[in-house]
Amino acid sequence: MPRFLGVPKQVGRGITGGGVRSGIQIVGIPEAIAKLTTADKVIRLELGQLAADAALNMEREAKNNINSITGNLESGTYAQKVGSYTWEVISSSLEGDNPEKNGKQYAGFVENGTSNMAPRYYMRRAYNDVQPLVNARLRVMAARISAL
Amino acid sequence: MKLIAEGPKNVLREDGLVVNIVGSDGDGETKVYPSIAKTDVNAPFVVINHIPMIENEGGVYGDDHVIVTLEFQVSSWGRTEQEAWILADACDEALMLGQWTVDPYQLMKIRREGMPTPLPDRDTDLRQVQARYMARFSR
Repeated sequence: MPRFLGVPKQVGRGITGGGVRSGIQIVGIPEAIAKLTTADKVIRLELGQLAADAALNMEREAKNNINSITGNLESGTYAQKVGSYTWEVISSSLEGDNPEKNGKQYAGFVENGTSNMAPRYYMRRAYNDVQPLVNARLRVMAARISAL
Repeated sequence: MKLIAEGPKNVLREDGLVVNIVGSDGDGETKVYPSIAKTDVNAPFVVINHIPMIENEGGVYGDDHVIVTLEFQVSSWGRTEQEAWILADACDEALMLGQWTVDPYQLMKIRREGMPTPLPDRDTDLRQVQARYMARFSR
């Protein structure tokens, strides 16, 4: 980091009649800029990784929350990257591995319930489980950036 | 804590407009149910479900829960989508303006999360409108 060297000091005593010169020199600018440039890349990488981790954790939690009978909905639940820092977790019974069960979309009924079945909230619970961890990691990152 | 969990149901059962819309079932019970409706009940009716969430540790001192957050979903069921929407509106107003008797706690804040969503049913021709709420209580 730049260092402040602004210590007034007497110079040239005995040569120019004892004049006083003061000044400021900040050293380490190129190194600091290089460090910030590197930090920018690291932060971008970490944010991307954080989004991926959160989505994959959410996928895993959602799969754990499914009361699986045929495994169709479980295999139709997956995380997908949609942008540099954006992932989404998709759950669709139409995309499951069980062809017999792929004719009808019932993921929403499992999540939200029907007139005869209480909601399971398997996706919502996964989100609620993962969100505090993401917030905690973001706070740690923010603290590290502030400390730079 | 049990009073808080039953809070939304009690508020809706005490609201005149909601009671007027849903009426009573065969047992004389107002058709506002926790978790799932009775099997032989006819629409319109309301079902309330709690959404499991991680405890907010900030509100816990020792064994005492000073601040409690409750996330719940209100499903308003009707024979038509219009009927479901009318019921959902009545429920929304009742929850926002109703008296929450959850002694020793007090309702600090309640808010609806997102817009209510109309959904079809898997097993019947009924329509439901789902709305999610977050309520915070303190003592």
